Amino acid sequence: MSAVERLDPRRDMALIRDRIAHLLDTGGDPAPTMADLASRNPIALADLVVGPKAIRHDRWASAALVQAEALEKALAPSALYRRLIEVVPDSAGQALETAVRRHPGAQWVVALSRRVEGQQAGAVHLAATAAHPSFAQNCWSHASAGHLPGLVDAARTTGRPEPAAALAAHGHLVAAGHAVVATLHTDPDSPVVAVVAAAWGPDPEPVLRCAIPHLRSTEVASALRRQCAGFPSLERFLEIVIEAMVQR
Amino acid sequence: MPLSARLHGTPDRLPFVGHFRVDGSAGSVAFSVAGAVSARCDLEVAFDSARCVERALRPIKPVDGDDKVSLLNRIWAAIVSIDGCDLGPNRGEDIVALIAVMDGDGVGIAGTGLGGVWAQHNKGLDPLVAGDHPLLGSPGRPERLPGVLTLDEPRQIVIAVSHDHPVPTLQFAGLERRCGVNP
Repeated sequence: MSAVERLDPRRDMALIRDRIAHLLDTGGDPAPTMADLASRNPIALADLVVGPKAIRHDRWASAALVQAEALEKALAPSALYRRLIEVVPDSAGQALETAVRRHPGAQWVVALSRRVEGQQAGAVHLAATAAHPSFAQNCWSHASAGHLPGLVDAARTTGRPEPAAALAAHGHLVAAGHAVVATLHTDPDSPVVAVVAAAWGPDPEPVLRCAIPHLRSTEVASALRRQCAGFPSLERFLEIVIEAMVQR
Repeated sequence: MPLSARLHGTPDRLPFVGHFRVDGSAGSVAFSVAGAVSARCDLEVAFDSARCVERALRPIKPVDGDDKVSLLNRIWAAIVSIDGCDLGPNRGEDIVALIAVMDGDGVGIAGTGLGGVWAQHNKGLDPLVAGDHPLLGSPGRPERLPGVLTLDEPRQIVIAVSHDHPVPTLQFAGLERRCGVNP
């Protein structure tokens, strides 16, 4: 039951704020109150969630994310999620997941990822959008923003070739090489060399040579060698690497 | 002196689908071939087709004293001899290629499926052909080379766009990357 159903958000905001604070302090469920305000006055709800006097409580923030659709009617999504993680930093991961789910191809999610994930920026966004048409565009955006570990992580999580190609296209050769290996580790049949060549140019050997220091298993090395059959000198070099790995 | 033929990429996220490039030189003779095949087909098919073209061209070893026209013909014969089955669903009828050869007397340029050809120098690009020059035309592998342009003065970098390239003029800034030539 809503704790504020008899109160008018246009007149009784201070009282509403007090009732919700009490509700949270006593361990009550904020969801019915949140749903009540979302249906009656989304602007007042947005004020209580991300306004200057926002209620700073992780359960309140979690309940707010359930009402994301209503809140986005009151506030631009980019500002909503950015402000929410400022108000309740503990809710940042959940806020990012909600933002990614609701706006998989939005450009502002790239900056939001940086704020939430730091060094690993892009990992959550790309893992969640691997099956979405915006995946390649998202990889390019994160590569352009320099989110290298996040892209390597996404290559490992998804086995898709786009993270490595995006890194190569933006000149991040070492990370691209790492991502090639991470991709093949998850999916040895992923056409990562073909996609890297399509993004980088007809001679992808400088990128593929950066993969070699990251090879840890003969299975992955063999998968890479199979895809490098069109590049004789690299293929020969990989054969030597595989032989050395077997002997070790 | 090095010679480099370059085919401009398409203006999208994966500009070099089906692109190939092979160079060779001996003394004053050099050749360079750049092109694309199956570029509108499945990406893996295009990749395999491009590698097939490279495999066909790699055995061509110019010899010092070679004549540029005979070298051009050897290169073209190698391209024509590739089994159509190895060149994607269009059997090589969509192949675009820029072939540049150099001997002691100058440079010869030939190709198929080209929409424009330029020579690059330090300050910019000089268009080498215009209008309905035989060097420009449809893609594919006719029995004989559709047209040869000979230049007496040496040119080190020759750039082409394919017949269906949406921008008929080229911007100089960032041109190397857009041709898939990386530092």
